[in-house]
Amino acid sequence: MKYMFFFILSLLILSCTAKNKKIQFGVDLCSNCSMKISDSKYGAEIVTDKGKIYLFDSIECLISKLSQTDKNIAGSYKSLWTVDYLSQGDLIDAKKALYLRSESLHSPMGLNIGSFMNRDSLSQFIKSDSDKVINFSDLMELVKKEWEL
Amino acid sequence: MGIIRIYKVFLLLLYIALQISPVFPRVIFVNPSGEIKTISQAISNSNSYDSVFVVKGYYKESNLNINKPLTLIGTDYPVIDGTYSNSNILTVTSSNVIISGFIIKNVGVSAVNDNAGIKVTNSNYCKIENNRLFNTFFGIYLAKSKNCYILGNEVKGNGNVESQSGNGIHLWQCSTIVIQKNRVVNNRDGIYFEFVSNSSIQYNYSSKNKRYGLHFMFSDNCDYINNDFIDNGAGVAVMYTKNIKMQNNRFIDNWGASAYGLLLKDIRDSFIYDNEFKNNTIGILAEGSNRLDIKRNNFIRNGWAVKIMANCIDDNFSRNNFISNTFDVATNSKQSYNKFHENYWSEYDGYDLNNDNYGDVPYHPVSLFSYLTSQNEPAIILLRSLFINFLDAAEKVFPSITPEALVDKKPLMRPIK
Repeated sequence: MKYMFFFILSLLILSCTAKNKKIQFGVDLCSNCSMKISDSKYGAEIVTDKGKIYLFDSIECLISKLSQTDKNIAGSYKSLWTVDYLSQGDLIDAKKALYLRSESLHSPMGLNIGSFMNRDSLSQFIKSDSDKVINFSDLMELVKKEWEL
Repeated sequence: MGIIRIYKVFLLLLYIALQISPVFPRVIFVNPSGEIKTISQAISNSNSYDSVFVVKGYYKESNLNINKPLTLIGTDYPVIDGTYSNSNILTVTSSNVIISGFIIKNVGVSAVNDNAGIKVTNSNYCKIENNRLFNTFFGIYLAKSKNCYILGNEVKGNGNVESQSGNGIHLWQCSTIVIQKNRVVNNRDGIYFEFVSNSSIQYNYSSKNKRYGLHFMFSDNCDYINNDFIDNGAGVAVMYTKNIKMQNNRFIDNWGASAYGLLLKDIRDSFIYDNEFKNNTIGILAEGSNRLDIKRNNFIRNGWAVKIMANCIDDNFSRNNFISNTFDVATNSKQSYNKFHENYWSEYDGYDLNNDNYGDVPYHPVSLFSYLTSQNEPAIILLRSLFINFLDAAEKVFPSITPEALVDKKPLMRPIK
Protein backbone atom coordinates (compact mmCIF):
# COMPACT_ATOMS: atom_id res chain seq x y z
CA MET A 1 0.00 0.00 0.00
CA LYS A 2 2.83 2.30 0.96
CA TYR A 3 4.62 1.59 -2.32
CA MET A 4 1.42 2.22 -4.19
CA PHE A 5 1.18 5.60 -2.53
CA PHE A 6 4.72 6.56 -3.55
CA PHE A 7 4.12 5.24 -7.01
CA ILE A 8 1.06 7.44 -7.50
CA LEU A 9 2.83 10.39 -5.91
CA SER A 10 5.79 10.02 -8.28
CA LEU A 11 3.38 9.80 -11.23
CA LEU A 12 1.75 13.02 -10.13
CA ILE A 13 5.07 14.77 -9.82
CA LEU A 14 6.24 13.50 -13.18
CA SER A 15 3.04 14.59 -14.87
CA CYS A 16 3.58 18.10 -13.58
CA THR A 17 6.95 18.73 -15.21
CA ALA A 18 6.78 21.51 -17.76
CA LYS A 19 7.09 19.69 -21.05
CA ASN A 20 6.11 20.81 -24.49
CA LYS A 21 3.25 19.13 -26.25
CA LYS A 22 2.73 18.23 -29.85
CA ILE A 23 0.48 20.66 -31.68
CA GLN A 24 -2.73 19.14 -32.96
CA PHE A 25 -3.02 20.65 -36.39
CA GLY A 26 -6.56 21.45 -37.41
CA VAL A 27 -7.72 21.44 -33.80
CA ASP A 28 -5.64 23.82 -31.66
CA LEU A 29 -6.06 27.57 -31.80
CA CYS A 30 -3.31 30.17 -31.87
CA SER A 31 -3.07 32.02 -28.54
CA ASN A 32 -2.17 35.23 -30.30
CA CYS A 33 -4.27 35.54 -33.44
CA SER A 34 -7.05 33.01 -32.60
CA MET A 35 -6.60 31.28 -35.95
CA LYS A 36 -6.85 27.55 -36.10
CA ILE A 37 -3.36 26.07 -36.46
CA SER A 38 -3.47 24.10 -39.65
CA ASP A 39 -0.22 24.27 -41.60
CA SER A 40 2.12 21.67 -40.15
CA LYS A 41 5.19 23.39 -41.60
CA TYR A 42 4.71 26.24 -39.15
CA GLY A 43 3.86 26.58 -35.48
CA ALA A 44 5.39 27.52 -32.15
CA GLU A 45 4.93 27.02 -28.45
CA ILE A 46 5.70 28.71 -25.15
CA VAL A 47 5.93 26.65 -21.97
CA THR A 48 5.75 28.82 -18.86
CA ASP A 49 7.37 28.23 -15.46
CA LYS A 50 4.12 26.81 -14.20
CA GLY A 51 3.78 24.47 -17.14
CA LYS A 52 1.07 26.38 -18.94
CA ILE A 53 1.37 25.96 -22.68
CA TYR A 54 0.63 28.61 -25.28
CA LEU A 55 0.35 27.38 -28.86
CA PHE A 56 0.89 29.52 -31.95
CA ASP A 57 0.34 29.08 -35.65
CA SER A 58 3.71 30.62 -36.44
CA ILE A 59 6.89 31.91 -34.81
CA GLU A 60 5.71 35.46 -35.61
CA CYS A 61 2.75 35.07 -33.28
CA LEU A 62 5.00 33.69 -30.53
CA ILE A 63 7.14 36.81 -30.67
CA SER A 64 4.09 39.02 -30.72
CA LYS A 65 2.84 37.30 -27.57
CA LEU A 66 6.25 37.66 -25.90
CA SER A 67 6.18 41.37 -26.61
CA GLN A 68 2.83 41.89 -24.94
CA THR A 69 3.38 43.33 -21.54
CA ASP A 70 0.04 42.62 -19.90
CA LYS A 71 0.69 39.02 -18.86
CA ASN A 72 4.47 39.36 -18.73
CA ILE A 73 5.19 36.05 -20.37
CA ALA A 74 8.60 37.33 -21.42
CA GLY A 75 9.70 37.20 -17.80
CA SER A 76 8.22 33.85 -16.89
CA TYR A 77 8.64 31.36 -19.67
CA LYS A 78 10.55 28.15 -19.27
CA SER A 79 11.13 27.21 -22.87
CA LEU A 80 10.30 28.31 -26.40
CA TRP A 81 9.65 25.88 -29.22
CA THR A 82 9.16 26.14 -32.93
CA VAL A 83 8.02 23.65 -35.54
CA ASP A 84 10.78 22.27 -37.76
CA TYR A 85 9.76 23.17 -41.30
CA LEU A 86 10.72 19.78 -42.67
CA SER A 87 9.32 17.55 -39.98
CA GLN A 88 5.53 17.86 -40.13
CA GLY A 89 5.11 19.17 -36.64
CA ASP A 90 8.16 18.19 -34.57
CA LEU A 91 9.20 20.87 -32.12
CA ILE A 92 12.75 22.18 -31.86
CA ASP A 93 14.28 24.65 -29.41
CA ALA A 94 13.33 28.06 -30.78
CA LYS A 95 16.48 29.73 -29.48
CA LYS A 96 18.76 27.24 -31.20
CA ALA A 97 16.83 27.06 -34.45
CA LEU A 98 17.80 28.91 -37.60
CA TYR A 99 15.21 30.98 -39.40
CA LEU A 100 14.94 31.54 -43.11
CA ARG A 101 13.05 34.48 -44.48
CA SER A 102 12.25 33.76 -48.09
CA GLU A 103 9.42 34.44 -50.50
CA SER A 104 9.31 30.72 -51.20
CA LEU A 105 7.96 30.16 -47.69
CA HIS A 106 4.40 31.34 -47.12
CA SER A 107 4.05 31.35 -43.37
CA PRO A 108 0.53 31.83 -41.99
CA MET A 109 1.20 35.32 -40.68
CA GLY A 110 2.73 36.61 -43.86
CA LEU A 111 6.32 37.34 -42.87
CA ASN A 112 7.58 34.33 -44.86
CA ILE A 113 9.63 32.79 -42.07
CA GLY A 114 10.39 29.10 -41.64
CA SER A 115 12.30 27.41 -38.82
CA PHE A 116 15.04 24.86 -39.41
CA MET A 117 17.36 22.63 -37.40
CA ASN A 118 20.54 23.64 -39.19
CA ARG A 119 21.96 25.32 -42.25
CA ASP A 120 22.03 22.16 -44.35
CA SER A 121 18.32 21.59 -44.07
CA LEU A 122 17.36 25.11 -45.13
CA SER A 123 19.77 25.63 -48.02
CA GLN A 124 17.38 24.03 -50.53
CA PHE A 125 14.81 26.77 -49.87
CA ILE A 126 17.11 29.70 -50.59
CA LYS A 127 15.86 30.90 -53.94
CA SER A 128 17.06 34.48 -54.31
CA ASP A 129 19.68 36.90 -53.03
CA SER A 130 17.19 38.69 -50.82
CA ASP A 131 16.57 35.53 -48.77
CA LYS A 132 18.06 35.82 -45.31
CA VAL A 133 19.12 33.31 -42.66
CA ILE A 134 18.85 34.68 -39.13
CA ASN A 135 18.97 33.53 -35.53
CA PHE A 136 16.36 33.97 -32.82
CA SER A 137 17.42 37.38 -31.55
CA ASP A 138 17.55 38.81 -35.08
CA LEU A 139 14.13 37.31 -35.63
CA MET A 140 12.78 39.08 -32.54
CA GLU A 141 14.03 42.38 -33.92
CA LEU A 142 12.64 41.64 -37.37
CA VAL A 143 9.13 40.77 -36.18
CA LYS A 144 9.02 43.73 -33.81
CA LYS A 145 10.05 46.03 -36.61
CA GLU A 146 7.65 44.61 -39.20
CA TRP A 147 4.67 44.53 -36.87
CA GLU A 148 5.55 47.70 -34.99
CA LEU A 149 5.38 45.96 -31.62
CA MET B 1 -7.87 54.88 -114.46
CA GLY B 2 -7.90 56.58 -111.03
CA ILE B 3 -9.98 53.81 -109.50
CA ILE B 4 -7.63 51.11 -110.76
CA ARG B 5 -4.66 52.95 -109.33
CA ILE B 6 -6.35 53.25 -105.90
CA TYR B 7 -7.22 49.57 -106.12
CA LYS B 8 -3.59 48.70 -106.83
CA VAL B 9 -2.37 50.83 -103.96
CA PHE B 10 -4.91 49.14 -101.69
CA LEU B 11 -3.73 45.69 -102.77
CA LEU B 12 -0.15 46.69 -102.18
CA LEU B 13 -0.96 48.00 -98.71
CA LEU B 14 -2.90 44.84 -97.89
CA TYR B 15 0.05 42.75 -99.07
CA ILE B 16 2.43 44.71 -96.85
CA ALA B 17 0.05 44.53 -93.91
CA LEU B 18 -0.17 40.76 -94.26
CA GLN B 19 3.59 40.47 -94.46
CA ILE B 20 4.33 42.44 -91.32
CA SER B 21 1.44 41.23 -89.17
CA PRO B 22 2.12 38.24 -86.94
CA VAL B 23 0.68 34.91 -87.87
CA PHE B 24 -3.08 34.87 -87.49
CA PRO B 25 -4.30 33.09 -84.36
CA ARG B 26 -5.15 29.51 -85.10
CA VAL B 27 -7.51 27.05 -83.52
CA ILE B 28 -6.02 23.75 -82.42
CA PHE B 29 -8.21 20.79 -81.56
CA VAL B 30 -7.23 18.12 -79.08
CA ASN B 31 -9.06 14.85 -79.52
CA PRO B 32 -8.18 11.42 -78.04
CA SER B 33 -8.85 9.89 -81.46
CA GLY B 34 -7.52 12.78 -83.51
CA GLU B 35 -4.17 14.01 -84.73
CA ILE B 36 -3.23 15.88 -81.56
CA LYS B 37 -4.01 13.59 -78.65
CA THR B 38 -2.66 15.43 -75.63
CA ILE B 39 -3.11 18.90 -74.22
CA SER B 40 0.63 19.26 -73.63
CA GLN B 41 1.27 18.62 -77.32
CA ALA B 42 -1.31 21.22 -78.30
CA ILE B 43 0.23 23.79 -75.93
CA SER B 44 3.73 23.25 -77.28
CA ASN B 45 2.47 23.42 -80.88
CA SER B 46 0.58 26.63 -80.29
CA ASN B 47 1.69 30.20 -80.83
CA SER B 48 0.69 33.19 -78.75
CA TYR B 49 -3.02 34.05 -78.91
CA ASP B 50 -4.01 30.70 -80.40
CA SER B 51 -7.05 28.84 -79.14
CA VAL B 52 -6.90 25.24 -78.02
CA PHE B 53 -10.21 23.36 -78.01
CA VAL B 54 -10.16 20.15 -76.02
CA VAL B 55 -12.82 17.65 -77.02
CA LYS B 56 -14.56 15.58 -74.37
CA GLY B 57 -12.31 12.77 -73.18
CA TYR B 58 -10.06 11.59 -70.39
CA TYR B 59 -6.59 13.14 -70.35
CA LYS B 60 -4.06 11.85 -67.81
CA GLU B 61 -1.80 14.86 -67.76
CA SER B 62 -0.22 17.17 -65.25
CA ASN B 63 2.48 19.82 -65.05
CA LEU B 64 1.06 21.60 -68.10
CA ASN B 65 2.83 24.94 -68.48
CA ILE B 66 1.17 27.83 -70.26
CA ASN B 67 3.82 30.48 -70.76
CA LYS B 68 2.22 32.44 -73.60
CA PRO B 69 -1.14 34.12 -74.13
CA LEU B 70 -3.53 31.28 -74.87
CA THR B 71 -7.19 30.36 -74.77
CA LEU B 72 -7.81 26.84 -73.49
CA ILE B 73 -11.39 25.68 -73.81
CA GLY B 74 -12.89 22.32 -72.96
CA THR B 75 -16.03 21.26 -74.77
CA ASP B 76 -18.47 19.10 -72.75
CA TYR B 77 -16.11 19.05 -69.77
CA PRO B 78 -13.09 16.93 -70.71
CA VAL B 79 -11.32 15.49 -67.67
CA ILE B 80 -7.68 16.29 -66.85
CA ASP B 81 -6.52 13.76 -64.27
CA GLY B 82 -3.27 14.63 -62.50
CA THR B 83 -3.07 11.10 -61.03
CA TYR B 84 -1.86 12.58 -57.72
CA SER B 85 1.55 13.50 -59.05
CA ASN B 86 3.56 16.05 -57.09
CA SER B 87 3.00 19.10 -59.33
CA ASN B 88 0.33 21.53 -60.45
CA ILE B 89 -1.96 20.33 -63.21
CA LEU B 90 -2.03 23.67 -65.03
CA THR B 91 0.59 26.36 -64.39
CA VAL B 92 0.05 29.74 -65.99
CA THR B 93 2.97 32.15 -66.13
CA SER B 94 1.77 34.45 -68.89
CA SER B 95 -0.78 37.24 -69.20
CA ASN B 96 -3.94 37.00 -71.29
CA VAL B 97 -4.78 33.37 -70.60
CA ILE B 98 -8.28 31.91 -70.53
CA ILE B 99 -9.02 28.49 -69.05
CA SER B 100 -12.60 27.38 -69.33
CA GLY B 101 -14.77 24.29 -69.20
CA PHE B 102 -12.60 21.54 -67.69
CA ILE B 103 -12.90 18.94 -65.01
CA ILE B 104 -9.53 19.02 -63.25
CA LYS B 105 -8.82 16.45 -60.61
CA ASN B 106 -6.37 14.55 -58.42
CA VAL B 107 -3.41 16.68 -57.45
CA GLY B 108 -0.80 15.19 -55.12
CA VAL B 109 -0.70 16.50 -51.55
CA SER B 110 2.74 17.74 -50.64
CA ALA B 111 4.20 18.98 -47.38
CA VAL B 112 6.55 21.34 -49.17
CA ASN B 113 4.88 22.45 -52.41
CA ASP B 114 1.51 24.13 -52.55
CA ASN B 115 0.37 22.10 -55.55
CA ALA B 116 -2.78 23.36 -57.22
CA GLY B 117 -5.26 22.44 -59.90
CA ILE B 118 -4.66 25.76 -61.63
CA LYS B 119 -1.76 27.93 -60.49
CA VAL B 120 -1.39 31.39 -61.97
CA THR B 121 1.73 33.46 -61.27
CA ASN B 122 2.81 36.88 -62.52
CA SER B 123 -0.17 37.15 -64.82
CA ASN B 124 -2.29 40.03 -65.98
CA TYR B 125 -5.75 39.68 -67.50
CA CYS B 126 -6.45 36.02 -67.01
CA LYS B 127 -9.81 34.37 -66.76
CA ILE B 128 -10.60 31.07 -65.06
CA GLU B 129 -14.16 30.18 -65.87
CA ASN B 130 -16.61 27.31 -65.43
CA ASN B 131 -14.14 24.67 -64.34
CA ARG B 132 -14.76 21.92 -61.84
CA LEU B 133 -11.86 20.99 -59.61
CA PHE B 134 -11.91 17.88 -57.45
CA ASN B 135 -9.23 16.68 -54.99
CA THR B 136 -6.82 19.32 -56.13
CA PHE B 137 -5.12 20.11 -52.78
CA PHE B 138 -5.13 23.84 -53.61
CA GLY B 139 -7.82 24.54 -56.19
CA ILE B 140 -7.22 27.82 -57.99
CA TYR B 141 -4.06 29.56 -56.79
CA LEU B 142 -3.15 33.08 -57.92
CA ALA B 143 0.16 34.66 -56.96
CA LYS B 144 1.42 38.12 -57.90
CA SER B 145 -1.31 38.56 -60.49
CA LYS B 146 -3.61 41.41 -61.45
CA ASN B 147 -6.88 42.05 -63.24
CA CYS B 148 -8.09 38.47 -63.27
CA TYR B 149 -11.57 37.04 -63.26
CA ILE B 150 -12.51 33.81 -61.48
CA LEU B 151 -16.04 32.94 -62.44
CA GLY B 152 -18.42 30.04 -62.01
CA ASN B 153 -15.95 27.40 -60.86
CA GLU B 154 -16.59 24.58 -58.46
CA VAL B 155 -13.76 23.60 -56.12
CA LYS B 156 -14.35 20.53 -54.04
CA GLY B 157 -11.51 19.44 -51.77
CA ASN B 158 -10.82 16.14 -50.13
CA GLY B 159 -10.80 18.00 -46.83
CA ASN B 160 -11.04 15.24 -44.31
CA VAL B 161 -7.92 16.17 -42.41
CA GLU B 162 -7.33 19.90 -42.21
CA SER B 163 -3.55 19.81 -42.55
CA GLN B 164 -3.88 17.55 -45.60
CA SER B 165 -6.12 19.91 -47.52
CA GLY B 166 -5.38 23.21 -49.21
CA ASN B 167 -7.50 26.26 -49.90
CA GLY B 168 -10.21 26.35 -52.55
CA ILE B 169 -9.41 29.69 -54.13
CA HIS B 170 -6.12 31.07 -52.85
CA LEU B 171 -4.80 34.55 -53.63
CA TRP B 172 -1.41 35.85 -52.58
CA GLN B 173 -0.09 39.29 -53.45
CA CYS B 174 -2.76 40.04 -56.02
CA SER B 175 -4.82 43.09 -56.88
CA THR B 176 -8.02 43.88 -58.78
CA ILE B 177 -9.35 40.34 -58.93
CA VAL B 178 -13.04 39.51 -59.22
CA ILE B 179 -14.25 36.21 -57.74
CA GLN B 180 -17.82 35.53 -58.69
CA LYS B 181 -20.38 32.72 -58.55
CA ASN B 182 -17.98 30.02 -57.43
CA ARG B 183 -18.82 27.09 -55.24
CA VAL B 184 -16.11 26.07 -52.77
CA VAL B 185 -16.68 23.04 -50.61
CA ASN B 186 -14.57 20.81 -48.35
CA ASN B 187 -11.28 22.72 -48.43
CA ARG B 188 -9.15 24.13 -45.62
CA ASP B 189 -10.20 27.74 -46.28
CA GLY B 190 -12.85 28.18 -48.95
CA ILE B 191 -11.43 31.45 -50.26
CA TYR B 192 -8.13 32.79 -48.91
CA PHE B 193 -6.72 36.29 -49.37
CA GLU B 194 -3.22 37.25 -48.26
CA PHE B 195 -1.80 40.64 -49.29
CA VAL B 196 -4.60 41.21 -51.79
CA SER B 197 -6.01 44.63 -52.56
CA ASN B 198 -8.92 46.18 -54.45
CA SER B 199 -10.64 42.88 -55.11
CA SER B 200 -14.22 41.77 -54.95
CA ILE B 201 -15.91 38.53 -53.91
CA GLN B 202 -19.52 38.20 -55.02
CA TYR B 203 -22.28 35.58 -55.17
CA ASN B 204 -20.11 32.69 -54.02
CA TYR B 205 -21.22 29.69 -52.03
CA SER B 206 -18.75 28.46 -49.44
CA SER B 207 -19.60 25.48 -47.31
CA LYS B 208 -18.15 22.64 -45.23
CA ASN B 209 -14.65 24.10 -45.30
CA LYS B 210 -12.57 22.90 -42.40
CA ARG B 211 -11.27 26.24 -41.22
CA TYR B 212 -12.90 29.35 -42.68
CA GLY B 213 -15.38 29.92 -45.47
CA LEU B 214 -13.45 33.07 -46.35
CA HIS B 215 -10.21 34.26 -44.85
CA PHE B 216 -8.65 37.71 -45.20
CA MET B 217 -5.11 38.44 -44.06
CA PHE B 218 -3.49 41.83 -44.65
CA SER B 219 -5.85 42.53 -47.53
CA ASP B 220 -7.03 46.13 -47.66
CA ASN B 221 -9.72 47.80 -49.74
CA CYS B 222 -11.66 44.67 -50.68
CA ASP B 223 -15.32 43.82 -50.52
CA TYR B 224 -17.43 40.72 -50.27
CA ILE B 225 -21.09 40.97 -51.15
CA ASN B 226 -23.98 38.53 -51.55
CA ASN B 227 -22.10 35.40 -50.52
CA ASP B 228 -23.31 32.38 -48.56
CA PHE B 229 -21.10 30.95 -45.81
CA ILE B 230 -22.78 27.86 -44.50
CA ASP B 231 -21.60 25.21 -42.06
CA ASN B 232 -17.89 25.99 -42.16
CA GLY B 233 -15.42 25.49 -39.31
CA ALA B 234 -16.01 29.20 -38.96
CA GLY B 235 -17.71 31.49 -41.45
CA VAL B 236 -15.38 34.34 -42.28
CA ALA B 237 -12.20 35.65 -40.64
CA VAL B 238 -11.05 39.15 -41.43
CA MET B 239 -7.66 39.86 -39.88
CA TYR B 240 -5.07 42.65 -39.88
CA THR B 241 -6.91 44.59 -42.52
CA LYS B 242 -8.65 47.89 -43.20
CA ASN B 243 -11.38 49.25 -45.47
CA ILE B 244 -13.42 46.13 -46.06
CA LYS B 245 -17.04 46.23 -47.10
CA MET B 246 -19.13 43.24 -46.07
CA GLN B 247 -22.67 43.39 -47.29
CA ASN B 248 -25.66 41.11 -47.89
CA ASN B 249 -23.89 37.91 -46.89
CA ARG B 250 -25.40 35.00 -45.04
CA PHE B 251 -23.48 33.40 -42.17
CA ILE B 252 -25.34 30.26 -41.21
CA ASP B 253 -24.82 27.13 -39.10
CA ASN B 254 -21.26 27.71 -37.96
CA TRP B 255 -21.47 25.59 -34.83
CA GLY B 256 -18.69 24.33 -32.59
CA ALA B 257 -16.41 25.19 -29.72
CA SER B 258 -14.37 27.77 -31.60
CA ALA B 259 -16.87 28.56 -34.33
CA TYR B 260 -18.27 31.93 -35.28
CA GLY B 261 -20.04 33.54 -38.17
CA LEU B 262 -17.55 36.35 -38.50
CA LEU B 263 -14.22 36.80 -36.72
CA LEU B 264 -12.85 40.32 -36.73
CA LYS B 265 -9.28 40.59 -35.53
CA ASP B 266 -7.32 43.82 -35.79
CA ILE B 267 -9.40 45.36 -38.52
CA ARG B 268 -10.51 48.96 -38.84
CA ASP B 269 -12.59 51.41 -40.84
CA SER B 270 -14.88 48.76 -42.29
CA PHE B 271 -18.56 48.35 -43.03
CA ILE B 272 -20.82 45.44 -42.13
CA TYR B 273 -24.24 46.03 -43.65
CA ASP B 274 -27.38 43.94 -44.29
CA ASN B 275 -25.94 40.55 -43.38
CA GLU B 276 -27.73 37.64 -41.80
CA PHE B 277 -26.15 35.74 -38.89
CA LYS B 278 -28.21 32.69 -38.08
CA ASN B 279 -27.58 29.62 -35.91
CA ASN B 280 -23.94 30.33 -35.13
CA THR B 281 -22.20 29.67 -31.83
CA ILE B 282 -21.04 33.29 -32.00
CA GLY B 283 -22.43 35.65 -34.64
CA ILE B 284 -19.62 38.21 -34.61
CA LEU B 285 -16.48 37.94 -32.51
CA ALA B 286 -14.51 41.19 -32.50
CA GLU B 287 -11.02 41.65 -31.06
CA GLY B 288 -8.93 44.78 -31.48
CA SER B 289 -11.25 46.08 -34.16
CA ASN B 290 -11.88 49.79 -34.40
CA ARG B 291 -14.20 52.18 -36.20
CA LEU B 292 -16.53 49.57 -37.66
CA ASP B 293 -20.00 50.51 -38.83
CA ILE B 294 -22.39 47.62 -38.25
CA LYS B 295 -25.86 48.33 -39.58
CA ARG B 296 -29.09 46.61 -40.58
CA ASN B 297 -27.90 43.07 -39.85
CA ASN B 298 -30.09 40.26 -38.60
CA PHE B 299 -28.78 38.22 -35.69
CA ILE B 300 -31.09 35.25 -35.31
CA ARG B 301 -30.86 32.28 -32.93
CA ASN B 302 -27.14 32.49 -32.23
CA GLY B 303 -25.49 31.39 -29.00
CA TRP B 304 -23.91 34.82 -28.70
CA ALA B 305 -25.02 37.36 -31.29
CA VAL B 306 -22.00 39.59 -30.68
CA LYS B 307 -18.93 39.09 -28.55
CA ILE B 308 -16.99 42.28 -28.42
CA MET B 309 -13.71 42.42 -26.55
CA ALA B 310 -12.57 45.38 -24.49
CA ASN B 311 -9.87 46.29 -26.99
CA CYS B 312 -12.48 47.33 -29.59
CA ILE B 313 -13.05 51.06 -29.83
CA ASP B 314 -15.52 53.27 -31.68
CA ASP B 315 -17.58 50.51 -33.24
CA ASN B 316 -21.11 51.51 -34.05
CA PHE B 317 -24.04 49.07 -33.94
CA SER B 318 -27.27 50.57 -35.19
CA ARG B 319 -30.56 49.39 -36.66
CA ASN B 320 -29.73 45.70 -36.28
CA ASN B 321 -32.26 43.06 -35.32
CA PHE B 322 -31.29 40.81 -32.42
CA ILE B 323 -33.83 38.01 -32.39
CA SER B 324 -33.93 34.93 -30.13
CA ASN B 325 -30.24 34.78 -29.31
CA THR B 326 -29.20 33.03 -26.12
CA PHE B 327 -27.01 36.04 -25.37
CA ASP B 328 -27.27 39.28 -27.29
CA VAL B 329 -23.93 40.83 -26.41
CA ALA B 330 -21.00 39.63 -24.37
CA THR B 331 -17.88 41.50 -23.38
CA ASN B 332 -14.97 40.97 -21.02
CA SER B 333 -14.77 44.39 -19.44
CA LYS B 334 -16.84 46.84 -17.48
CA GLN B 335 -15.85 49.60 -19.86
CA SER B 336 -17.35 50.01 -23.28
CA TYR B 337 -16.09 52.33 -25.97
CA ASN B 338 -18.64 51.24 -28.54
CA LYS B 339 -22.05 52.55 -29.41
CA PHE B 340 -25.30 50.60 -29.56
CA HIS B 341 -28.10 52.71 -30.94
CA GLU B 342 -31.62 52.09 -32.27
CA ASN B 343 -31.39 48.31 -32.51
CA TYR B 344 -34.26 45.90 -32.13
CA TRP B 345 -33.83 43.40 -29.27
CA SER B 346 -36.36 40.60 -28.98
CA GLU B 347 -35.38 40.21 -25.30
CA TYR B 348 -36.36 43.80 -24.58
CA ASP B 349 -39.37 44.03 -22.30
CA GLY B 350 -39.70 47.79 -21.92
CA TYR B 351 -42.65 49.88 -22.97
CA ASP B 352 -43.34 52.72 -25.36
CA LEU B 353 -45.83 55.12 -23.79
CA ASN B 354 -45.38 57.96 -26.25
CA ASN B 355 -45.75 55.64 -29.24
CA ASP B 356 -42.68 56.85 -31.09
CA ASN B 357 -41.61 53.26 -31.78
CA TYR B 358 -38.65 53.57 -29.45
CA GLY B 359 -38.71 51.95 -26.02
CA ASP B 360 -38.79 54.42 -23.16
CA VAL B 361 -36.32 52.54 -20.98
CA PRO B 362 -32.79 51.81 -22.14
CA TYR B 363 -31.84 48.23 -22.89
CA HIS B 364 -28.69 46.65 -21.46
CA PRO B 365 -27.82 43.89 -23.91
CA VAL B 366 -25.14 42.34 -21.68
CA SER B 367 -26.97 40.22 -19.16
CA LEU B 368 -25.32 39.43 -15.86
CA PHE B 369 -25.04 35.79 -16.79
CA SER B 370 -23.45 36.62 -20.13
CA TYR B 371 -20.89 38.70 -18.28
CA LEU B 372 -20.24 35.93 -15.76
CA THR B 373 -19.74 33.28 -18.41
CA SER B 374 -17.26 35.39 -20.32
CA GLN B 375 -15.27 35.69 -17.08
CA ASN B 376 -15.70 32.05 -16.21
CA GLU B 377 -16.69 29.79 -19.08
CA PRO B 378 -17.74 26.64 -17.21
CA ALA B 379 -20.48 28.69 -15.55
CA ILE B 380 -22.43 28.18 -18.77
CA ILE B 381 -23.72 24.96 -17.22
CA LEU B 382 -26.10 27.11 -15.16
CA LEU B 383 -27.82 28.37 -18.30
CA ARG B 384 -31.61 28.49 -17.95
CA SER B 385 -31.53 27.81 -14.23
CA LEU B 386 -34.05 29.62 -12.07
CA PHE B 387 -31.32 31.10 -9.90
CA ILE B 388 -29.71 32.77 -12.92
CA ASN B 389 -33.06 34.21 -13.96
CA PHE B 390 -33.38 35.79 -10.53
CA LEU B 391 -29.89 37.21 -10.74
CA ASP B 392 -30.53 38.61 -14.20
CA ALA B 393 -33.76 40.21 -13.08
CA ALA B 394 -32.06 41.76 -10.04
CA GLU B 395 -29.22 43.05 -12.20
CA LYS B 396 -31.70 44.64 -14.59
CA VAL B 397 -33.24 46.63 -11.78
CA PHE B 398 -29.99 47.61 -10.09
CA PRO B 399 -27.14 47.27 -12.60
CA SER B 400 -23.95 46.83 -10.62
CA ILE B 401 -21.74 44.26 -12.35
CA THR B 402 -22.55 44.47 -16.05
CA PRO B 403 -20.95 47.26 -18.11
CA GLU B 404 -23.21 50.23 -17.59
CA ALA B 405 -21.91 52.13 -20.58
CA LEU B 406 -22.90 49.33 -22.95
CA VAL B 407 -26.49 50.34 -23.42
CA ASP B 408 -28.98 50.96 -26.17
CA LYS B 409 -30.77 54.13 -25.10
CA LYS B 410 -33.24 54.04 -27.97
CA PRO B 411 -34.18 50.38 -28.54
CA LEU B 412 -36.69 49.80 -31.31
CA MET B 413 -40.06 48.31 -30.45
CA ARG B 414 -40.42 46.44 -33.74
CA PRO B 415 -37.84 44.67 -35.87
CA ILE B 416 -36.56 46.38 -38.99
CA LYS B 417 -37.72 44.73 -42.16
